[in-house]
Amino acid sequence: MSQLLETNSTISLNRVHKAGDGCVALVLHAHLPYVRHNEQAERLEERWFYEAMTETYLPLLDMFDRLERDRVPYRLTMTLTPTLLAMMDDPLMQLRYERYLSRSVELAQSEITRTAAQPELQAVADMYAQHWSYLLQRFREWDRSIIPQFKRHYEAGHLELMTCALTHAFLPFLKHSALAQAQIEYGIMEHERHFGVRPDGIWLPECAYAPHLSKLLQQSGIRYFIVDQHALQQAEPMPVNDTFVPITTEDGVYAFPRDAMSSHQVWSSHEGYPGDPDYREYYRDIGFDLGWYDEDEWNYIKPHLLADGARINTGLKYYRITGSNGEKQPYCPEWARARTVDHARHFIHSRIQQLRHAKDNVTGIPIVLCPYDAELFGHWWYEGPQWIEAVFREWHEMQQQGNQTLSFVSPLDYVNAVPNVQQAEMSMSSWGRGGYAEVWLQEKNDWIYKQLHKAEENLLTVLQRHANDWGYSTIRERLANQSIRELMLAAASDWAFILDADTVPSYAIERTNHHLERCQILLHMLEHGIYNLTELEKFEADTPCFPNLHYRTLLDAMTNEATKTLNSRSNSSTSAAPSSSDHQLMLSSLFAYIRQQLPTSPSQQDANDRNSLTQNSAWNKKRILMLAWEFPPLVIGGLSRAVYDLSRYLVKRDCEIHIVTREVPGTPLYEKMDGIHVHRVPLAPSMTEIGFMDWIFQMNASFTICTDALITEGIHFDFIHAHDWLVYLAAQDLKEAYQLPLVVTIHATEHGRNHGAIHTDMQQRIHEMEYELTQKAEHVIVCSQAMKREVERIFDLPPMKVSVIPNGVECVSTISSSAHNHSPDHISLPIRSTDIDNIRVFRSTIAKPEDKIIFFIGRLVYEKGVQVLLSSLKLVQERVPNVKLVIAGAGPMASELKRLTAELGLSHCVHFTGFVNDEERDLLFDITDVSVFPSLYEPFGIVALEAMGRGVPIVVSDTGGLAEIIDHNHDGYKALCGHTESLAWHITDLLLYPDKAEQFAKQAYRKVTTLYDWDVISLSTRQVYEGVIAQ
Amino acid sequence: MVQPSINNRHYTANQSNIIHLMVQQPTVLFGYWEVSKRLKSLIERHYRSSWHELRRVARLYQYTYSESDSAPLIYYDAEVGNSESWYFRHVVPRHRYALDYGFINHNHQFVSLLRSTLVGTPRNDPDWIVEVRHESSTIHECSPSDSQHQQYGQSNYSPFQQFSTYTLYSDN
Repeated sequence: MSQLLETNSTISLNRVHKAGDGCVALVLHAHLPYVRHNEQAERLEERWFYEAMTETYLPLLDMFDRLERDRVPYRLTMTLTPTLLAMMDDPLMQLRYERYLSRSVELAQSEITRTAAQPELQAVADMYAQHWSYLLQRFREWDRSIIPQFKRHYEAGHLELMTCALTHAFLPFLKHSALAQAQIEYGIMEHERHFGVRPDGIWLPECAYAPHLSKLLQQSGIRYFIVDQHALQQAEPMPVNDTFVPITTEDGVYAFPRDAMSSHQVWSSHEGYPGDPDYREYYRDIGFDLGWYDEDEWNYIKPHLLADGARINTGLKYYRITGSNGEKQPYCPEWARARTVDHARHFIHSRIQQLRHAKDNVTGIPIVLCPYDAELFGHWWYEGPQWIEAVFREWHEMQQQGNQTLSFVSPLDYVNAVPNVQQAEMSMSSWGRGGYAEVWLQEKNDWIYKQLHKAEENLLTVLQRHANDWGYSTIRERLANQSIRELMLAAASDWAFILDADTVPSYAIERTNHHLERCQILLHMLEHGIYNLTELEKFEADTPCFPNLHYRTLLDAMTNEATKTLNSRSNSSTSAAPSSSDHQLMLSSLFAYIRQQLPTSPSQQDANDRNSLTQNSAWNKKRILMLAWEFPPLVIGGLSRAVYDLSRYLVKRDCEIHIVTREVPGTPLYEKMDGIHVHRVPLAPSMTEIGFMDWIFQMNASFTICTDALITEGIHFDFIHAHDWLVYLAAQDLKEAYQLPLVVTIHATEHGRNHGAIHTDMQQRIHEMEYELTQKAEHVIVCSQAMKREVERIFDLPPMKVSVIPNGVECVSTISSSAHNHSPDHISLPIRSTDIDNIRVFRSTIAKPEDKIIFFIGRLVYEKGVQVLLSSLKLVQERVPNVKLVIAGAGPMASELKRLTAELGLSHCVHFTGFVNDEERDLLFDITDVSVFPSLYEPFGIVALEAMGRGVPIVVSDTGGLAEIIDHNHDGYKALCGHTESLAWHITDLLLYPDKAEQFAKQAYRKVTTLYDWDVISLSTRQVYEGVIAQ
Repeated sequence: MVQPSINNRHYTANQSNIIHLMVQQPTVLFGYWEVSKRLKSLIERHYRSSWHELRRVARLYQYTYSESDSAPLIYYDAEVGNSESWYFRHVVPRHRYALDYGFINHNHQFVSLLRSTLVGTPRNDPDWIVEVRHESSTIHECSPSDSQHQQYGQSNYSPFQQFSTYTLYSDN
């Protein structure tokens, strides 16, 4: 094999390097959409194939044979697209074509009789009769298989063969690059099946290129492709050799530009060769000409038209183009043949001129690449194959005369011979009208893309979801393969092209819808495990093409795409550009990631199965959707930490927790934290101002879209646990959509935050959402008895519906471990810090050694009561002058509190730290003499527990959850709520009597470690869940 | 087309919140979108307004071609009514674009529902110039004052400074 490659490479080298002025590559793109119709032989569209066989493919092969026979060297490149090959390879199509050609011969023979009175026409009829009889004879000699004939010429080294995307899809318009990669790879596989080798080149359908295709082509081992000329003219950097030397993409794939001038000479219907008056006129076919005024004539031609009498081309065309005016004159084959020779000479002469001109301006060997639709030759331009023959014969003669001016090569020869060309980046382009995509995307055909893209999504989703349960069911594999086949057939660029040209739009619409519909039916079967074999067999029988198409190829492409998306995300996350990241893309990359990460195979059980399972008394592992607007590392209030701690302890109690929360810059979209599945949903940032409630809406909408996607991925939930009104919309929507039970934790109420008064519209709105949320919920959890009373009262909730489960706290270990001391009376304080020096240094930055430190931590909002603490500090100073107050936290009231501090003359002894992290908070606890929590409203008071867990003596205000935590004068002090003097007195007492303070701290620590243990709390929560499921 | 069965909620749920932007030529983009019934009812519930009464807008953001730039240079608003697709015929070659679909809230602010991926328009060749047809649309410069995203990107907090944890505090 390597020897063969080497030989080919040497031949290529000679071909290219022996060219005096440069190279010419003739490229024919032979393509027809897949127009096989199993049950209907008389489809107009199926005749496209038969006509092309008679007029193009067989004449080309015959021409190759003549050149070979006469030892005329030629070098031509062709694409035979997979759909065309599939029809050429199809026994039914072969049989039908033989019948078609036989009838054409019969018609031509009967035409000899009919035209007896018109000798000039009769001669033409005779020409057709002889030509077609000859082709029929050859077709039969080849056992109706013409692919081996192309292969023979390929193997002889005269014909270079390229592949094409499987169904000729307009690749830039496929939504997922996995589908583009699969189109390319399946095309390559078909090529290999027919010709025994993987191709070096690809014809991108419609020469449509987009930058993302470069990598895909390179990954498939493609070495070259063809683009329109302007793709190179617009490339960056601008190619130094104009369009006479190909460039490579950034992935090293050669891009050959179509030569516009030679293209014009052949394509143009007016100035081009095919418009010559001596050439055959395409538009005068007896299928259209006969039977207008004579019934006998109509009866004569009718059997050769469509069954419904619709007129069609029979191939019998008697006239030459003649002139632009006057009556058409009979066709004279000899004259036409003479013109092909003239035109061949003209073509070669023009190329020589072109190359000579180019040679002066380019470095390296110039190449003119002339690509054409193969069907132009023979079908439209009847003499086209003769012209090609004449070109090569003329070239041969020149060479024999010693004229080595130009060399006919294939692009592959050039790639082999010229290993280094300029690299440049090309934009999207095509060879269609306008140079871009307006043929395939405009008002007449734009509707197809939404349908196609939806089918893409659906296909990829279903395939991915079942990626792990393939391999044992042939039927499932067949369903998957056929669904891909149908989608790809629907995506052929031909349908959009036909809609643009308005030739047979109903057929294009029918074909698009037909394949999409079948794709959906198949995916539906796969998804639901209900297989209609009869239907599957019918679909397969209707499209017996691409037998090697296997879903694995697409799955591999999907993995490749997911990896690239993730890589591009991780790259982009390094730049501070969250706004440019696209919402949908991020969501899809999130899901791609989830697919890879989640170990659990998706549940195949439907809702009924799951319900019956829940009837079992035993607690099967439950999957819980937690909706929380904040989650670590995003910590704003106590909710984030509480949800995190609860979740990780629930994980230990046979719960599978999925948190849906919002994205935090710099953190992964999905991660597993302590066994918790955390899905962080990106929110599309607004470029212009929106209202707060708009933002809430957007967040909730994103949560629902994310959850839908999770569920679509097969992650079915047993119930929802929502935290606070901020996720009300999503909770309510998902509950209704999936009929899931809802548990709600109310961490605080708007009513409470505003001291029982709802003033503004916003407050009213929040209050209403809280009300609705608790009404929709099967069960409501609150953190204190005070909150229970509050929610029962303001939300009209029956006591049975509300449970009190306190928040927990994690404590540091004690100084003397329990192994050393078992006495229940002995209470130890926790280790506040082992690094005493570090503490001393830190303390010295805030206070003098003799100073006493009071510490507040919390959000700087009104209900936290910091303003009360500041006022009482004045009173404390009266008895404890050397006191410092440290205020840690951030919030909307920060500047107001600072102003108040200054007004009270306390600036010298009050220190605002701003927001502190957990580590800084613990350091502050460690230097604190008394922690104070002077809240006016406090549903729970987690920071008080944290202080207690750190061994810090505390004073709280006698309100809400705080009041329930502290036993007054036993493990702390409760001051009257909002009462400056009461607060000052209790703080002063603890500062003046450190022994008492230490005793309180020890008692408080014991309470925290027994009552507010997360293990206990998670058990209580699971009991609530069990109760809800039992309902 | 085959309709998914009624009880196949998951199937329908994922089908219809979509937006996609496509390049037709250097100066013309085509976008299409679809909003699910559920999302529409979410909007109706939250905004207490029928979907059809809301002014629906497709907003096209223009970025420079270079990927390192994050903020859009400009955006175009097209009032699209009931249409689920739109041609933007005034775009600039060799730029990047993203499309939002959303609606105007009661305070005349644009609320985005869906955002497309970024697409790049090709460079234009004078030989291939296509006649530019202007659509009825409004054009806005993106100024720092009406752009909140930078602030959002730098903070873990919500884009509302006065918002703290559970409620929106007044400025006073």
